Amino acid sequence: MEKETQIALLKAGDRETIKTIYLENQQGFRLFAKRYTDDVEEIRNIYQDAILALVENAAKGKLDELQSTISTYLFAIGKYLIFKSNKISDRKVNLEADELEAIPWESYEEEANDEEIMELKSQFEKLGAKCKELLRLFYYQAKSMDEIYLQLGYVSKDVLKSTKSRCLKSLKESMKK
Amino acid sequence: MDQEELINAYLEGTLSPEDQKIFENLIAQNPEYKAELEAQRKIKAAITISERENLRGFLDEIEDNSAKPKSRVKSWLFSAAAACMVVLAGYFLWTTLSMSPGEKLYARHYETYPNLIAPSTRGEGSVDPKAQAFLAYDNGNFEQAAVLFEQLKNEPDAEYALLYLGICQLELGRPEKAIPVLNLVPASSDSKEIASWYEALGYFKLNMLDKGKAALQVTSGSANPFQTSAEEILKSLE
Repeated sequence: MEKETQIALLKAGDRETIKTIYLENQQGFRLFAKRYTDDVEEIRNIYQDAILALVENAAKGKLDELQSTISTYLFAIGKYLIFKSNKISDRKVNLEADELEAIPWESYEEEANDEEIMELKSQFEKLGAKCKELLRLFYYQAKSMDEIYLQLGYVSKDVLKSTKSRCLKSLKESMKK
Repeated sequence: MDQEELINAYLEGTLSPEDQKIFENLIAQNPEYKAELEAQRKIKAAITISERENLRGFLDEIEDNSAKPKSRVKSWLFSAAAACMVVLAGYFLWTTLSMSPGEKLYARHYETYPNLIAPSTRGEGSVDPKAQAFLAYDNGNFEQAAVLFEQLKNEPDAEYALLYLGICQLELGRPEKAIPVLNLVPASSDSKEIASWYEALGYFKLNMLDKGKAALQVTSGSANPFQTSAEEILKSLE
């Protein structure tokens, strides 16, 4: 499949494409990561994080101008995450740290232990489908209101804006209960 | 941009310099705005964590399914597959029988080594020969990659070029060219064990078992991804 097509499908969050990429690079990544650690569980976690970062960065349009192959990009993220992992501290990793390219990726590790944020998360999951989709595009995929307006086909931008306010309000209010 | 868009772009690090100024002024002058930033940050974190959990569940499913084959298969499909298996097994048996012991080892153990050197991802049509070589390598264009690595190998700190040139030659079915190149990787190099692994496989391809064993000794000597495999092969050849 053409790289551009694959990136377009990734941007749309197409699960078949994610699966294909996941399986295609799984073995190679394991072999690669084994240079730094024998912790199989951690390798699997890092590989999954790398895939998440790939999907998110694609959705945010950061792969639109990608010169390398998707696999190469995925390995670059993986290498970066190995370097950042607390569980892996290896001489080799540190030696090679200089040549690493920073990949935009927020791990939200601390936030995952924050009670208020986790409560917000479960409230978000209880929202209606329409609100969820809108907030997902805005916060998770960092789309602008203009893009969301085009994508979701709202009658007008004002309607979209007021819907977003209403969704946010119900999310915030659910916290006060 | 509305207030939330401005905050969101700030959290994404995508504000333009002008908007960055507007944003900083707002924060400095208005304590409420600061509180709103914190609230937005939490919402963004909560939604992102939720979405990631969702996708991670899907990835776990893939991982589990790739470990075990699917169970419910239509019976005719099963028969067809079984028939194919018989043919394949026959073919495999025939090719294995006609293979030398060395070639069998090669077939069982050879895997393309991943690009660990230049996974750089930027650059508008990069003209850097190193990046070009690895791009060709990643794309499976080993003929082109070999030419580029050949040019790179004489530059300082270019031991990697020897390793990858050797692997390209193996990929192209030319072990006799791969072996001398891989042998040139200096013993002081971080990749010596890896290079020896591929050198050994090259010898096996040519069915030169003793030479292959000698190269494997280097690979089994210290920690690297192929150490266990090297030890196993050495044991089996004793």
